[in-house]
Amino acid sequence: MTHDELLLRRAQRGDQKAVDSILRQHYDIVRAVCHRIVINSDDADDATQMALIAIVRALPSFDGRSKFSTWVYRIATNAALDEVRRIRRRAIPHDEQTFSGLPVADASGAVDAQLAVSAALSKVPEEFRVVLVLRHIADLEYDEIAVILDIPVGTVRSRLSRGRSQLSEILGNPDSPSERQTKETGGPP
Amino acid sequence: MSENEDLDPALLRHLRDVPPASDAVREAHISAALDEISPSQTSSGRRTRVLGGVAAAVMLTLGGVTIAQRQNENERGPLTGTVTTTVPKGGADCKEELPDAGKDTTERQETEHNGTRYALLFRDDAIDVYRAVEPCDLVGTLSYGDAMVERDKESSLPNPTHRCSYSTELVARFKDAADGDPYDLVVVQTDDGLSVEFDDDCVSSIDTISLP
Repeated sequence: MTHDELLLRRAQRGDQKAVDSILRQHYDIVRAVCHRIVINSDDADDATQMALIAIVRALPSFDGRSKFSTWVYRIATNAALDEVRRIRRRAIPHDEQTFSGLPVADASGAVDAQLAVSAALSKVPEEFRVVLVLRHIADLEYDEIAVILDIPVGTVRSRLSRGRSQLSEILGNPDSPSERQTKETGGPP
Repeated sequence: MSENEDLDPALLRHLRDVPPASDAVREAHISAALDEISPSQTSSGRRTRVLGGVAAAVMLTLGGVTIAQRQNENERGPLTGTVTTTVPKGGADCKEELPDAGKDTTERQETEHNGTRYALLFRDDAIDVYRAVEPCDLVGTLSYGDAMVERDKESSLPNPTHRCSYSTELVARFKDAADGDPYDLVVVQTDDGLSVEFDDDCVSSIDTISLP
């Protein structure tokens, strides 16, 4: 039995130390998935919190049929999508809710670029964005994404392709409405 | 990951570059999640974990000397004993030099012996003891994994109601398990170092180390 398997077994028995360790191991990637799906920083932190709680609650029922990390990403993705739905119900104007809480530009431009990517990502339809995040941030294979989202692998492939195209197009075309929106929202005058 | 070649490397880098959470946010998130299995505080009980969760660990590190009551993790109700932890003010000078507490190590504790501070890093089946000040070296390891396995084999079940009293300073109380039920363990100071013991076995020590 590997160290991780032993840790998981102990966590499933309610060993708080083991649960703590597992949460710490997966915290950054859970948070990254939530942030890139939800976009808004405060809401993404809420999603992260809900994901961690869901992981703890569901740990005893993890049956090992999928990789544990895949199971964690599924929970994080569902928590993020739940948060996106809650945001929609709040009916706050899109621009106002999407970018609040993001960092302002710094002298190096690094935050500018990060902000631009966040803004562009927010313009990519949710179904494509989720696949982009699971593939490029969580480093999941197509079949793992298919399991998480309960869609065929072919659909994963097509959504990923279209998501990449849209993201590149938004970032690469300065005359597009989306790009103008990005600049108006995120950058200094 | 050849598929990533379809995405501009700079874009991929920015996509992955999610600003890290502050320590406070991270600890709050994890602490709240851990409350799902064991509430760290209740309005009526005011119970606090010792080496049982993040909130307690932070409190121990930042709050100086703390008297805390350990919470039972298996819903058997809180234990009655109190634990006095020795945590010198100011924190560990070797914080950066010591192994990352987020990976193999899940808890960190400090104690003092002959005027020198030591950091106890709790990991599976063992506790590594480092000098908490320069030169930040590993002084020794208290191992208790084999002892738990032996007790499992002997069907010597943990006795959660029986607690020893200690004439020397009690450094930490914690739980750990091999394959069976978790055992209550303690680290106590001895005349020349530290000892790890089962908290329901008031006779023998599992492992000891001498401190300089």
